[in-house]
Amino acid sequence: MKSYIKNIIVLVVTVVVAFIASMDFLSMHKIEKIGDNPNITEIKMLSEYSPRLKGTSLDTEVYFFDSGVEGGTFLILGGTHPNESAGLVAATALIENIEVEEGRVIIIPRTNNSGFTHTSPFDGMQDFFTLTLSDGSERTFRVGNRLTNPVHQWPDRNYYEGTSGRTIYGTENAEVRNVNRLYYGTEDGVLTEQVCYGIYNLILEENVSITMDMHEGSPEFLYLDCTMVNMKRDNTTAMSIASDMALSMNFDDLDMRAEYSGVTSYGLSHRSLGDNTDSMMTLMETYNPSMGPLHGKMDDDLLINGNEPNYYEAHNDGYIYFDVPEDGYPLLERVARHMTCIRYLSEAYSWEYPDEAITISGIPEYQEIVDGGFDLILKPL
Amino acid sequence: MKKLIVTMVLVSLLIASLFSATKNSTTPSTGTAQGSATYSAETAANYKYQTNDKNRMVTIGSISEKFQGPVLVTSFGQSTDGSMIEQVMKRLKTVSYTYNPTATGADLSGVKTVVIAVGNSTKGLGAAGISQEQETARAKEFIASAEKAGVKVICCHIGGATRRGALSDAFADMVLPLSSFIVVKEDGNEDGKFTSFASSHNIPITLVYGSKDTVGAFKAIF
Repeated sequence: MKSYIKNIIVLVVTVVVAFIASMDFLSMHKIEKIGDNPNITEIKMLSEYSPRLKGTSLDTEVYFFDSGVEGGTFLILGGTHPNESAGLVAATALIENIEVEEGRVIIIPRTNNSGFTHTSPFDGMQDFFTLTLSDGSERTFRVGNRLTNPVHQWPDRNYYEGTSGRTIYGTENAEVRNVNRLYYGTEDGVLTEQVCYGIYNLILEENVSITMDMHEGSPEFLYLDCTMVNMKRDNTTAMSIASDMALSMNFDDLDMRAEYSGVTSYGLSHRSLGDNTDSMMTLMETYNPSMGPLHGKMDDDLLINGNEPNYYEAHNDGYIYFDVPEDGYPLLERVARHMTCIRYLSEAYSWEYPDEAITISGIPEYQEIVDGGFDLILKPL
Repeated sequence: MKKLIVTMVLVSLLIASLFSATKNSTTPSTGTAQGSATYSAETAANYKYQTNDKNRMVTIGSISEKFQGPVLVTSFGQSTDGSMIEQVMKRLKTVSYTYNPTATGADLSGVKTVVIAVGNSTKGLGAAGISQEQETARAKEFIASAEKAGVKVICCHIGGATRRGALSDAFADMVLPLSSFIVVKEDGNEDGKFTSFASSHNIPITLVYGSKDTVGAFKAIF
């Protein structure tokens, strides 16, 4: 009898611990609300373009802004890598603020929805970060992982050949859960590749003219404050549009350069979607110190203020090429940079292709955003 | 007890191997490394900058004549700098220009000034679908044709320090002897390569602090 009591106690404790852990795990599946915008004309699910995603944790919202005026279509992807927070916040801010006057804009804020349901445990990642607005209200955003949650797609195969031309095997095998390695995708592939297929199919069905995939990179990365461009469409014209955007950002005293998409960057959006659709493909990167191995404690100072003294020191010692600011590179500035890039890209695209003009209003100037803070671009909920 | 310790170690190893697959946040999202500069870090550290955030443009030597259009903008090395120069020309609004990153001597007909953006990019060569050897051959043919046609040549290096590798320098060395004017983003001159050449050959040179300042440099000569 004594041993039964002991066993029952262990069982009860196990159930309680499992219950608490499950609640914590499931709370990561709760999607944060995005503020209303009367200019949103439709919200679809990606499964409408990749049917097998329906009912899975990788299905995700697609926001449409249709001006009703003929023009081009701009697709904006946030949250391809959920640990690259500026992309999610910029996409959210765009959804809450823009009005499209010519053409259409389509925004997917959480491209890898599953990636938002887990973090990198060994990196000591926070689950969330919270931005407090001036009225005291709070906007909370998830910090996710760059890969699909293994609970949703597992095990990682030892060898995978999708549609991208990239062979995923060996130490790279977890990349089979990376949306930005599996384009252009197929509806019969692994779940992550079905997301890729959904975006590919959306581009085809909605005649998307230009796409921006918003990313961030670790400080060691050489292509920060840089926009990658696929040259397939009209050859030099794509780079002319991107260079126009870069020079316009330079005039706002923002470092930005355009760079050619690598010919062997198989599976990446700018390479494989550019090669297999008619959309002009671009991908932009900003600096995110929380992604690099030298980062210290994962806290709001790192995630929101972008402040990591180790990287400032490493830059001063000549180990980091990127010009790391002493006071950090705040999330607000990175979000403002993404939004500014999109504004200038749409202007340059419209200048080059007047018949496919995409005119977007409601995106403040870079300095206005930096001066106004998140109050200017996020709505209190 | 021994069994418990062994089990704990095995479980830890299993968990570690499972999560190591998700712990890739330092992996860059895209891209490959650029070429490295042809001068030492010490040389760069000893260089005294003439431009800064306040004084964004410095011209050494006198500009005695204005350059005429039509202008042909081309690239030696297929970096994106050629495209940036195209956008600079667009913002001038006063000079007729064409941009052809793979121009040959045959494209010089009617052209009065050639602006050559020097800077090698393996990504750019890949995008253009040409090899290093083909690009070098095209550059040699183009510069020989430009010399023969007597058109004015402006050498532009606006890619900064990251665009200073052996291949980029080789393209610059082709263009500099024929140049009537040089524009350099100053962080691409940390070894004094361009200012030394300009000084020894009496060629006016404008150092700019940022890419956008190229517009000001061009307004002064067109």
